[in-house]
Amino acid sequence: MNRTSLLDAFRSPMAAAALSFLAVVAAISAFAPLLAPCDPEAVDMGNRLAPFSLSHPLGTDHLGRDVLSRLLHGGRHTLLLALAASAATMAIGLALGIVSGYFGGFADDAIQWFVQLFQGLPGLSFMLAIAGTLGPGAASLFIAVVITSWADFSRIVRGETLKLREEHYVEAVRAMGSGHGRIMLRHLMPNLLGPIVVLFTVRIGRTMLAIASLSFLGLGLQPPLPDWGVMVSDARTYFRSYPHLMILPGMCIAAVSLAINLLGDALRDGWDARTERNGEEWR
Amino acid sequence: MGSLTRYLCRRLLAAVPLLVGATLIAFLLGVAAPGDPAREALGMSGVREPTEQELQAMREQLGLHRPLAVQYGLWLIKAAQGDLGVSYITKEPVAKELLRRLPHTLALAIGAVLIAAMTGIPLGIWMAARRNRWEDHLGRTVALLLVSVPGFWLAILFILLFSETWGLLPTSGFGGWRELLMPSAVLASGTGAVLMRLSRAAMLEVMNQNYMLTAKAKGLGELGVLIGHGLKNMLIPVVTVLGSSFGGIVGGAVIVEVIFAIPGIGRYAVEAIYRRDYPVIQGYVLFTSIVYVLFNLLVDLVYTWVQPQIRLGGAVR
Repeated sequence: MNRTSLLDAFRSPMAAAALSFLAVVAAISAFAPLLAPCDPEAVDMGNRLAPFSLSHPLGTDHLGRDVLSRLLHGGRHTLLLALAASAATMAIGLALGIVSGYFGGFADDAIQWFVQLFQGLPGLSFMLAIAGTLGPGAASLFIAVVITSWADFSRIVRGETLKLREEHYVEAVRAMGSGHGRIMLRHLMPNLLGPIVVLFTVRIGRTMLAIASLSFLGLGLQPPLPDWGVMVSDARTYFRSYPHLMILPGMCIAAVSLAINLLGDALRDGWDARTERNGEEWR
Repeated sequence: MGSLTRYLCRRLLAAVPLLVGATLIAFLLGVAAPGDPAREALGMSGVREPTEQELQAMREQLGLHRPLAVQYGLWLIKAAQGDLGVSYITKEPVAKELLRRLPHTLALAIGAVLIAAMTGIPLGIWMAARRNRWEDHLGRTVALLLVSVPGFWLAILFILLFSETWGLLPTSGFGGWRELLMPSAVLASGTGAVLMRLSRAAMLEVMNQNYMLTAKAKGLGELGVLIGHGLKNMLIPVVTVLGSSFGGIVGGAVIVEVIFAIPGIGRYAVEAIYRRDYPVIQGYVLFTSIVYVLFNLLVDLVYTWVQPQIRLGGAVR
């Protein structure tokens, strides 16, 4: 997928809707302190589990904290962390994938040994064990996510690089005397943009769910942080009598994750459409 | 069968570095764990404020004074003999407890795979048959929803609906199929959705083949063509994915085990993490890795058996 078809993919109505929704979520997250009616961490034990009211539009939780304010703040940490961890995953996976695919030989063998190791082992168990051993918090989550997800990324980048390496234009720039670094950065990387954007998008969605799940287990982001995963975890004890405390933050996670997946699908369709077109040209 | 034996040997050998890697990661986790294992061990046996001598003695007893490589070697030898150490908390051998709990997790995972296969594959075929009609769009939306919804949230929603509101199923515990139904369904949701999309794509691919046209030309009805000629040809990629997802399901059972109070290996690991019981966490990592690697190997063997081109060294189409 070149840059034009990437833009085409963004023009599909589904992708546009998903992207607009995500932009709104990003804006809400960024400006949550200004939008929220209350302090999301302000405890008011005299006003626990209050019903919907004017001062608390979505009621209060088991510590009397304003649910709406917590929901508005709830995406900030998870999304930022998912973005950062996915970016780090992408950087590592991209670097190793290009080097592996471009040079081949010993570098390829060595890198692929690690890729096969991490792909052949159960990622979820490792993520749980790493995050759990390093102790709760954003740093542990970050490390656990990056360690368990770089391999998939690099394998796909390697596959794409292997295809590109054989293209005539790579041969041409090499003949004109470009160094390896320049070829990889200036000539291979731009052509890898399509798969990278798709992988990155899908990775953010998965990372977000992983962070929320670990936070739910009490191994990720920690209370009293206003976070959707933490909120569902907090509400577990009260969900029989106060189901909305758990349904609302869960819906936020599901909606953002759905939008990311829709976007990923639209982008992948754009990417596939081009490969299909290429296939037709061959016949 | 010479080439088959060679293929099997190659696959078995390829599993060795995976398992070595798993032991290395499990061992390094124990090293990276915060806190002093000697102090932990003394604390567990009732010594609250150990003296420097007591700590030193415990370090020597646990072998912590040796170089890391030696510690790893010793740990590896014990692990190879099935000794994964003793839980700090319960003093029970970790391997024994993991084996005791494994059947619960396996039952859950098998239930999940069955549910995913029995819903995902027929729905995918149906979507392919109704391509680009409203049934297809609905199916794709449902599949996308299922992969997007967090499992823990779906689990609690299920409990709220099926147990609390309608009183159909028990909320927790482990016994018959009634206890297994909800947790397996939650665990199956992601895989089921992937299977729906995959079966749809595989069936669409098969539907373009000439033999399908031939079957149709011979006067077979649409359903007859799909079931009689399409099904077995689209199943190979689908079954491969289904098989290799099993190991992932075993690893991903943690949340479901915690929410539905199922005494499986995932819940054991989470409880160990809460209590900083590192030998159990290490054992869990190694144990799930072995299950995962062995199962992928098994899938490969079955696949070779179904698809003879691979073992004969031919290209797979």
